[in-house]
Amino acid sequence: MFSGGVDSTMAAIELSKKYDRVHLLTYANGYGHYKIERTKKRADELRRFAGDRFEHTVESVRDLFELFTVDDLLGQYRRYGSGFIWCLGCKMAMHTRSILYNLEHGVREMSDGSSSSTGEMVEQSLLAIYMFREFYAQYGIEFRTPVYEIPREEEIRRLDAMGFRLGLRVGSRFLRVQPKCRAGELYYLPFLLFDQPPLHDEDKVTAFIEEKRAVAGDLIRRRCRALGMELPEGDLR
Amino acid sequence: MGCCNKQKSGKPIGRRRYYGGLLLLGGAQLGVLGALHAISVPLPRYRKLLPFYHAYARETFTSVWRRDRIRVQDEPDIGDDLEDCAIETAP
Repeated sequence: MFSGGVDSTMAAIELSKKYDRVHLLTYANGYGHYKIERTKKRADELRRFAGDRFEHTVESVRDLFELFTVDDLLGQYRRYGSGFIWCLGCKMAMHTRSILYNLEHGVREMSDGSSSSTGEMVEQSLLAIYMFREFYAQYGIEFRTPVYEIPREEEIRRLDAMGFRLGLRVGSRFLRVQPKCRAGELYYLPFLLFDQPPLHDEDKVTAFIEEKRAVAGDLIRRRCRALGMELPEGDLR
Repeated sequence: MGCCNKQKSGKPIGRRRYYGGLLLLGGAQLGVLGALHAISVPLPRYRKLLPFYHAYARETFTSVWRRDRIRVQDEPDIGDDLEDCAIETAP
């Protein structure tokens, strides 16, 4: 899963050391995701750096995001009591689409740029990553986070040394290199402005992901049946 | 400062940062609200975000205004301290 930022670019480089072919998947949720074209520039940079082993795909997950979150936004907000439903619903849509992509292309490993340095983001918390791993394992796919333990400054130093564009630095973040998410920016604004930790109650996060995994499971089964594909029996958990 | 190693809040922030941030947050929320209303005219699917956004923005701003999980320097959270470090006194 590829946004073209520091973490997912570093993850792509790490994967290219291990595999001849790396599929870079970029998603847009249709609600405030923009500047998606920036990922293409980053994919071109990766090809210049490591050769033509990167296949970049940009896809919409609007239908899944609407199904998981947008269609009952206020109801879910009342039920789970936090704005995390937006970010986690979006992420679950991306993971569901990735599972379908992997099954259709016979890819048995999936990675993203989750990092401990952005662990305040609900979708990059250890709990969420653990549950995503279980989700992929149901379909015989291994979900990995290759840069989770690499300190951010180390990633920046390495990318800089390899000649990648880093963009305009503000704190430990870089502007103008990856797509933007208006809703995500607004959700984490109190954290940036006031150091106010977001409300991510673990029981509620667990319940939310379980609910979406069930919906996604039905959808994946139906899609596989329509395509005449058999679901893998393997469970890597 | 709270007591008893309680870690409900993040790092303490200065008063200027708090009040400046409050203005920024309010401005950003109003900007998004205006943008949502405007975009809902050509793209009606955005209309279904409005009830959620009204509730979310109001509750987020109220939480910051009440300083939930926020520590502002030189302004101890007396209520929390009293609650957590209650000292029993002889009648």
